[in-house]
Amino acid sequence: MRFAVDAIRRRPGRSAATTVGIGLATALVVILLALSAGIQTSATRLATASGIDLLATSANTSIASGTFPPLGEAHSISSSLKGADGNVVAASPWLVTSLAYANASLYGAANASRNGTPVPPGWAPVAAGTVGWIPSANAGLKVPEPLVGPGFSSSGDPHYANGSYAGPVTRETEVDQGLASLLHVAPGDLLWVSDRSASGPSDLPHWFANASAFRIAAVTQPFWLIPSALLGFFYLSELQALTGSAGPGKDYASLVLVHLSDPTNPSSDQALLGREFPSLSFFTIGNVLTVVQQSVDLYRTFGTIVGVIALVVATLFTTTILLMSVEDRSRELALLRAVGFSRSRVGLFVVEEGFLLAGIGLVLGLALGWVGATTLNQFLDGLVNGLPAGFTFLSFDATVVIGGAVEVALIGVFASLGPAARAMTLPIAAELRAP
Amino acid sequence: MKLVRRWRALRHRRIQSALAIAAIATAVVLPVVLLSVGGGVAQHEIHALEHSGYQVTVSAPGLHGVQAAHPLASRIDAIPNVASASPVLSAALDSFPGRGGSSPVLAEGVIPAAFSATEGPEELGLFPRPLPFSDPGDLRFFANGTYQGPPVLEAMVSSPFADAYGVKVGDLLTLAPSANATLGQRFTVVGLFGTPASALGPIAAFAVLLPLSELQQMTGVGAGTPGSSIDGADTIQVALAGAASTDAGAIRSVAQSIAQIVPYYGVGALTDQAAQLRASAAVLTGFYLALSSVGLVVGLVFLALVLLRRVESERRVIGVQRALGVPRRQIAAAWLRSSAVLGGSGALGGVVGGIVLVAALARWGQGAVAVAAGLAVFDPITLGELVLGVLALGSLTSLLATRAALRLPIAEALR
Repeated sequence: MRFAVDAIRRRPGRSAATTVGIGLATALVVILLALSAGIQTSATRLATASGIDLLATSANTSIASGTFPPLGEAHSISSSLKGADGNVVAASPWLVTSLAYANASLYGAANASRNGTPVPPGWAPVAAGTVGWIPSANAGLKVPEPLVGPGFSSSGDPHYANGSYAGPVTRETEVDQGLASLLHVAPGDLLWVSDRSASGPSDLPHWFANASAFRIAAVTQPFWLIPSALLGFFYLSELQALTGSAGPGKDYASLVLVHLSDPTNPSSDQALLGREFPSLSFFTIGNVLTVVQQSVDLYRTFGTIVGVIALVVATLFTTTILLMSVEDRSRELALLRAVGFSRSRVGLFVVEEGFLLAGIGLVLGLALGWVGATTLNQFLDGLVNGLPAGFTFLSFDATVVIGGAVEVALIGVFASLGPAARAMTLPIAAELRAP
Repeated sequence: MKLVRRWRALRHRRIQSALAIAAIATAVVLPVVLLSVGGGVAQHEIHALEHSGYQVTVSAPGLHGVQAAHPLASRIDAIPNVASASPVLSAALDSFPGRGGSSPVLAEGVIPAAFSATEGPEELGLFPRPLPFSDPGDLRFFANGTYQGPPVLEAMVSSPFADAYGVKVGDLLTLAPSANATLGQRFTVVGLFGTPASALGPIAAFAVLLPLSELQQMTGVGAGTPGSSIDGADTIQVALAGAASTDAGAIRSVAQSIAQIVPYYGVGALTDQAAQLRASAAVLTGFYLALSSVGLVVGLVFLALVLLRRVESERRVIGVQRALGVPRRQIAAAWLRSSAVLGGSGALGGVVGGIVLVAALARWGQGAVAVAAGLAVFDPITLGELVLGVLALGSLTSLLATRAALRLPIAEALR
């Protein structure tokens, strides 16, 4: 190792440039590794924490298509699935749609507009994602918790009333922080909701006449599972009534989320339920994550190209520096050979120098990579709303550090091969005779 | 001739020169790949927007948020310069082809004549013209908003769906809003249409085209409460007539006229979307160059070291030149040429390497990677600027070598 340290000390500028080169390449690769690890780890952690082990949609649906026809008989699905597979703890039908929401201020402005007072500019119903569910069916599933307000008063779905849709209508809704903030509403306030939109201020009285008023039972956390920062939650049957999907022969839901008692082998439950319910398609979380991975293949391929190119340039750079070092010290190496040092020993000196340069580059690269990853993570966090606690885009963990170390070791090995061979084959007599 | 002489001189330091050129070439491959693929994809999207057959879109909040789509389309048709306004409703349905079982399909409800008038060049090759529906204006079943007219019950199906289920023109196909076939209706297949060969987004390979009013009624956005209809749609696509279709001012004016009719709806001109996409593409180009800069910086530091090394090994020659009174400018020019040869060779090699890599990705890549690589555009101006940029940065590195050469103590160099 003394040979390597001495070689580096003799040419500090050149050595510094080399380590900076290796460090930059390492930092780039480390950031790419951290990005890949972060998204994969977070996605897996969220999928596990969600409590969702299987997803059911209408038959023959591809999960990649994103939209699928509704499922019928949603309220009875839960008991049917539990009956068919004892491993099913909860099966929660969700109706996912989009509605227009308006607050009491707009309601007042719309009424005033009948007397000729114009609706203030910019005031209009707001579109937001909407989920209808049966609160008690969500047992075991991670759904957004109320932050303010008591939440739904009933754990069931009172209006459904065994399919008659004649039970009491609660007119309760929960909204997430984003929607509550946009509409300036709090628990206890009224919201008007419709699956139709108003075409303009003159249409507002008609729109309110056809909209339904709901009282806000809670303001909830954001919900990462639905890609929208604006969300409202309703009892399933009341949302079905709003969207015209209530009634015999309908009772629609978009999908069913299934929680298993023993989630270690969801594929067997998937197969069992698939056989029992041919009108449904079942997907494990693994299937969903695979689709997600396939959709980011494009970015992963080009990310790999970026990393490989950085590594090749750093390796070529280090090779040249080591070749220069061998040339500079050719007399010294020849002398070592002349006094009995074996070829392999002399070659080892060069490999040690390569590893030392790469090691210093690793330290620099990890430091730069950590700074870059932290900054990029903060930037991306600021861009996306509604991320759950613990979600990180970049994960700077042990696997990333090990990945960086392996990469640097590869640079050290490949960069030293040529220069070591050169050192081992130096013509001893000619080198010693040279002026 | 001087460059040839420099190239011959380089042969004396073959390995170092080859490695320097290889490093710069490898570093240049990255911006070539990213700029050509990224630029190609952006150009493809912008081209699709600018040649979509319609120039203005109208959408509204909520599910199938556009209300009173038929009369609204008629009002838009009356705006000067508007050729046609085509309401479109999209919904997932279950189909029950004759072979048994069900299959989800993406259904699009359109007014056939208006849809034909807003087809872009790509759709023109996929759909027959006119569409083979017996009620091109979707008037019969709609019946002035009562949805009480005689049903047409005609559908066109996509070729992949027809191939998969052996559906032919003249067959009956049951379509239902859910997997409950008893809620379905039987449509006569009146024609087939193709789907685009490839795209970056998911393709609705299994698709059907229906008269708007019949899909509205099936999905619950047709007739509303007695006396009032919903007449819902997702968007209205508006095509402008003649020269107005390419005039940004006329397009914006039509968009403003529509916004006055439905101020709460989203009215967007595709030219504005294309401009936004161009601005985004410019930002992305900066990002690609920033990402590539790591490799380029390392490559250029490499080049500087190789040139400095050559100054060391040629100190005697430089000493003789300076002792003979060769002007400083001439010595500096020689090092500039060396740097240009190395940097230029690397840059050109990188451009060739990048083109080969993109071609390989297009040929052997999988899925979206192959599609994106297939859209790559090698803009000679961009590539030329890239090569010139590398040459300029390379010449900066030659300054270090020149400085070292001109500072050599002559006596010591000659000794």
